[in-house]
Amino acid sequence: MRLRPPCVALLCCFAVAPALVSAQETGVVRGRVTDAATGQPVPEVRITVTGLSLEVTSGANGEYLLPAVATGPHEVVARRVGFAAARQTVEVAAEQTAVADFTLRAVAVALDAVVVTGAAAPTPTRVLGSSISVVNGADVAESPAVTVDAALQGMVAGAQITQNSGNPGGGGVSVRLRGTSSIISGSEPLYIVDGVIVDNSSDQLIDLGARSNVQNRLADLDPNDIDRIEVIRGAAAAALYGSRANNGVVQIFTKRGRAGTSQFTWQSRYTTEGVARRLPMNLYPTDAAGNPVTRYDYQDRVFQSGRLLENSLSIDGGDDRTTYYVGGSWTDENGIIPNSAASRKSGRVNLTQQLYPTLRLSLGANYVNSHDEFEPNGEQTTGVITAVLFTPTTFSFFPVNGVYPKAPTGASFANPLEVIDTWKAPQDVTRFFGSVQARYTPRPELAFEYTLGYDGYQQEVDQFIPRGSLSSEPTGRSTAILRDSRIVNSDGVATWAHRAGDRLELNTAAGFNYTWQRIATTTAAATDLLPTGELVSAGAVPFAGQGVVELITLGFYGQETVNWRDRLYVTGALRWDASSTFGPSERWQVFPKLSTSYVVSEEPWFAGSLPGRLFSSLRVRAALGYAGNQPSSANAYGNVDSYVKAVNSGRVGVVNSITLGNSSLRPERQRELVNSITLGNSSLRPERQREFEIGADFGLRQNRVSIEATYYNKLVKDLLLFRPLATSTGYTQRFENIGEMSNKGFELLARSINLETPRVRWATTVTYSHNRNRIERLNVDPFTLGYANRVAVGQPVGFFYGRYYVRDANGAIALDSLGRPKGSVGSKNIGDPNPDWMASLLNEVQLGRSLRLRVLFDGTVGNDVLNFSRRILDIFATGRDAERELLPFGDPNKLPAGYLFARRNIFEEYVEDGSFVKLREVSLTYRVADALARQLRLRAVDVTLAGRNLHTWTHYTGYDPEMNLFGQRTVERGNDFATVPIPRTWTFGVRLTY
Amino acid sequence: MRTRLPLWLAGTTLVTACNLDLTNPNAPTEQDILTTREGIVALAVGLQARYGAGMADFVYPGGLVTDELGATLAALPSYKDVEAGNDMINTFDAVETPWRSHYRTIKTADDLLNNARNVTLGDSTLSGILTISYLFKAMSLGELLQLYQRIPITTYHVTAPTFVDRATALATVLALLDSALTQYKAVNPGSEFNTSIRAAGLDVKNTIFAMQARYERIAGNDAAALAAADSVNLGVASVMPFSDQAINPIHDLSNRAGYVKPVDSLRLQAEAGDTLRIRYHVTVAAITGNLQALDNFTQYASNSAPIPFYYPGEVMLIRAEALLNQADIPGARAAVNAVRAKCGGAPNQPIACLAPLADTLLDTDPEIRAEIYRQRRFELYATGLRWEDARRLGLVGAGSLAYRCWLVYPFSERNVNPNVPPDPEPPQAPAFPAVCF
Repeated sequence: MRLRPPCVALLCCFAVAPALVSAQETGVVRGRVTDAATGQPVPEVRITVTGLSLEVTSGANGEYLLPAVATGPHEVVARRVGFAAARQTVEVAAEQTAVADFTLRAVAVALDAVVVTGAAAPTPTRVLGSSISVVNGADVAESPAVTVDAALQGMVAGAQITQNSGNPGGGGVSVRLRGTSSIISGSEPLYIVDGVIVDNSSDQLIDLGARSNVQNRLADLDPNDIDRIEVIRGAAAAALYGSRANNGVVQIFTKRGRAGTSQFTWQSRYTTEGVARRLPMNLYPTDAAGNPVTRYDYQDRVFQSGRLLENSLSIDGGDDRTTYYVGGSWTDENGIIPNSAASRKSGRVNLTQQLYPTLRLSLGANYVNSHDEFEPNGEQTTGVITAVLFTPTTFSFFPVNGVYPKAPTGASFANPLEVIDTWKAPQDVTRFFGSVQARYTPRPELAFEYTLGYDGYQQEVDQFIPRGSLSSEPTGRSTAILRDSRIVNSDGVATWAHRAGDRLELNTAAGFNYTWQRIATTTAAATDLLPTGELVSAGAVPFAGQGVVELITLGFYGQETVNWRDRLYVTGALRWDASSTFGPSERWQVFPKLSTSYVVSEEPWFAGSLPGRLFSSLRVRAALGYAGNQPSSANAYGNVDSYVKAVNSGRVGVVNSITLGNSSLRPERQRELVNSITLGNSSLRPERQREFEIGADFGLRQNRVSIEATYYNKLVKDLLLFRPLATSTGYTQRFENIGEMSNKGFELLARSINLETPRVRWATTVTYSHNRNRIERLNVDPFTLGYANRVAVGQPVGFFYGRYYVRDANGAIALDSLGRPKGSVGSKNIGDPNPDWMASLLNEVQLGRSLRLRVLFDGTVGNDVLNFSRRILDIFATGRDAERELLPFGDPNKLPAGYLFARRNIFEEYVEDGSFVKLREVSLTYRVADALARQLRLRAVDVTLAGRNLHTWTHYTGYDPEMNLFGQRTVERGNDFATVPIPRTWTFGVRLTY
Repeated sequence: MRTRLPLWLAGTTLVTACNLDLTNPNAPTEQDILTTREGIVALAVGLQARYGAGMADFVYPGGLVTDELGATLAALPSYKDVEAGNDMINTFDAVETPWRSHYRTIKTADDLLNNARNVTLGDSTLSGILTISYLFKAMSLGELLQLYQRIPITTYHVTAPTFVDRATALATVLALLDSALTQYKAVNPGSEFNTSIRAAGLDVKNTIFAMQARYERIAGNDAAALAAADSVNLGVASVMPFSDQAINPIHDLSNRAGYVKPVDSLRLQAEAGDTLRIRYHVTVAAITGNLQALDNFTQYASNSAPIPFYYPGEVMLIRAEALLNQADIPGARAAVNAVRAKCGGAPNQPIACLAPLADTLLDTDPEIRAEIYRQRRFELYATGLRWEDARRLGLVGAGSLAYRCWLVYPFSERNVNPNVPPDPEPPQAPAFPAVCF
């Protein structure tokens, strides 16, 4: 019962909170924010009062209103990403309005942007020892991407964001921050919305051929509701999130509304989606014997042009005590595979009420209802694109007398046209995110904040296979799977800022975090269906199943930041974390961090020094920290020994499960090291090592150019894996903390305001990131996941491992007597799906008031893709390559018969360079002249034409080098197999602001 | 009292937060099973289910290595390799599954033997549970020692079990059977055991005697084997029941998966007139197999077909062999002729209903011994016991009855346990016939 003391101590800490009401006279501050260069109003500027917990944002007209400011002199600060912070002091008198207008100067340096994530309290970036990315909500909302995470593509250095398929509703997005940090426990970051941990699972409930769901649950968030996104990428920054932050943290803040007259925003967008590239098929006019044949390219039938309609309406406003944001949206998408579709209806209400001058209450509620229709693809043999690859092009799938011909390739293969026309795989999600936040500031320097959050959803996925459509399932099958997921968060934090003399400022924070999660899954299925009727109840032979997983995490933390003369900052923090998934003996884990930031350019001597002549601002920073990773929900009970059902004589008995429970499970820990001094440590309890991130931020040309450079070195120890056991013990395996993995890399972010005149502004942002992943230690034999993604010591995680060509002394492929290639007996490293480096280039041009152009390129270099689709084309002679076997003898391109089939198991052939550069996004926005807008009684009218994934430069021969058959899975990256291609989209949108 | 709300919220969450020892709702834990009456009872049911699920794993490796079973065309390559005598890889199903399955049964029996006494069950129920724990552990170890040259006998809570030789393993099996019999005789298992725990069809006492006869014979103790065989009541059948929820594993492998089926040559090599017994075992189908024509099992044609723990004919033939070894030629002759002539009701299946052989054909030891082994082939078809017969007759080697003496040790054990002995090699010419022991 060692848990009790901290619980009681924390209760006491909250019990001493003094009375809330302290009568105080207040006034109002209002003003307008304009751009120094163009004179145009600047919206979404965050206005704060130094020392008070007040924060509002400016509206579309640049105006803001700060309610209930205590009387006396105050420093008002205006901040927006991309502009230098501006401050002015105003005198507030009781019941009076003070005016503070700001003109902001665009800069590339972002030292004064305020972030919250990983920092316990709102903190300017200059204080932080680690790099953090902030993305403005406007950039997310204006992106033609369907989901929030896809909209971040190319926007964050060190983030590899992959859309895994082109299915409607987002297609499933993977986010890897600074490389892969786990092997079987998941590598997606922790997602937090307004301080509340939310679920982003993508478990495969119905087999649609991808081994994970074709949508990750972040797709439930409406991009229009987002105010900003903060991304922290490594353990050094994320230590305060303890045992869940190994993969970094993405915090999403939704719009809170701002004081002032109500503002209505209506946006309507129409998007068309098309297949960017098709696979060349075998359309040779004759068969192998020279007889003329009819050939079909079913890509004509299984692809269509999709469309997406999005409508959203938001209203925000408020007065000196209340602000609100109400947003609603409706989207309806038809995918590029016929009868695949996605729709989402979302409503959000955010309300902030200043109950007393010292107490603010914020409420947030978001209800989402989505309905999708999916088609099987990928490795599912009933897949639509799969059937196109697997079926000789001479075969006609077209129905004869209303009967669809059965696929010739086997009983478990389906007719893709029949699947499109008659099968169903709907998904329905109903989700509610809610939070209540109370912030109590009895004194300007002291604040208590408590957040209670809830994220709950019901997800139903069904599949209906009609009677008679599949030989291996002759009587049809109907499946319904219901998942109920609930997360409750209860967080408290107390912060105290205090000055010691005029040179030193201390910021103290202490808090707790409690998360309870329950995931319940119920399955019902039946075969032997009625000739009509799609539900499980139409079947005669039922099956059912149920599973429940419960997880609890409890953590406490304390943090101290020392600020010396606003130029040198040192932060130390400790997180003390417990999870129900850890063994009792290892339950409490400590995750410390230490970071420092030194703003050299604030030194009086800087201006005259050599660096002062080169740089307009200079900051150096370093951070060390620990974070952890819990077992995934699939292994949530790996710490207990369990028994499974065994039936005899009609009685239900039990026997031990083959997995032995491990009562000493720990989280995977992530740390970074300066020198790797203990890699040889074979002890079961690895020595603790430090995590390290070091970087510098440079400003040039009066801060109109900024460069952020960061080197990081991460080491994950205690990797969770299944260790095999001697089977004579009655067990097969045990879940243990074994293995180590490192990620070392370099990130560069450069922003430049190239040109700024009253009429033209042109800014460029470049990101570059390089990461090297390596398995440092693995106390189990190397193993392969997926088709060829291997885990082995000394190699990057998931490298491709397979058979290769036998070659002669000159390196030419050795052929057998029939002229066909010979494959090796053994396997070796044949490629790496992890990119050597990634980069993005964003150009933004503003012409006058009315025209804005945004062009984003991004790409990866050095990553390989296993083109499994092409392997299937070889096996069934369905691809264009197969035409070469059919050429007449004597043709120089002629391949011997059986050449392609002979190479089918030589995976070296199918590992291709997946490097690419994509024209990710182009958007052109035209703002209709004010006079015209006013005639329409509107504040602003914006018309946007945007494109996404418009062009891909690559040597890759498949649909797209960016997709992944295995969805969001960790090790199985870079596999292309009959996955729905990512569409090229064009969007036309209108936004009306009233 | 406005101020109390956040306090109350924080307080409630923290108090609930302090319990981090969650139970797994999906499956009972060791604690639930080993320390409660319900858990021990369920585990005793599970022990029998576990042994039942592994019954094919003793039958098919020996059947493929000898002349009993063949791989179908649809079989996984490893089954074809085992039948053909190609390199035996230690990850083959035929190598891995008997080991894993039997040791998991042994783990279950050990769980019961180590924990049942600590739970209040009542003497008669406890006695029944302990009896079948000894019995099923003995049968599992006994079958393992007929597949692998050396085996571990102490495995409970041992990370890297050590291996013992065959004599030690046999002595352990016999000691376990003695314990089972002693326990059974000391306290007669009561009605709760019989109605809610014991597998419907299992006759505990006669199975103990039959197993004593089987393993005393393997150990070469003729007097003990004879005594045990004489104790078996041949009028009682003892079978493992199966159902749609717990399907017959031989049916599963042979018909549902369709990997392994009876060889058609069994029928062709049977003595003229031995049709009843052949039809009891196989339904003539002459399916094209991987190497030879195959038939279907008659008796294992459904999910719920029971599998006998032993055939009465085995007990009768053990008796004949023991008498012969004691130089009782007339007794042995009568005993083996009794097997041929067996033509009775259900418990006597399979029945040959053949005429007894004339005394002149069975008046020497070699003649009687040959007839005993011939009867064992047809009487004990697909029980897994033929490989042991091949070994003791020295009929092991390329082209012989069995092409190797033992399975190799499974990868899952070798990978982790440093105590695994070197793999036994198949006998090579000129050291043929092999001496397996």
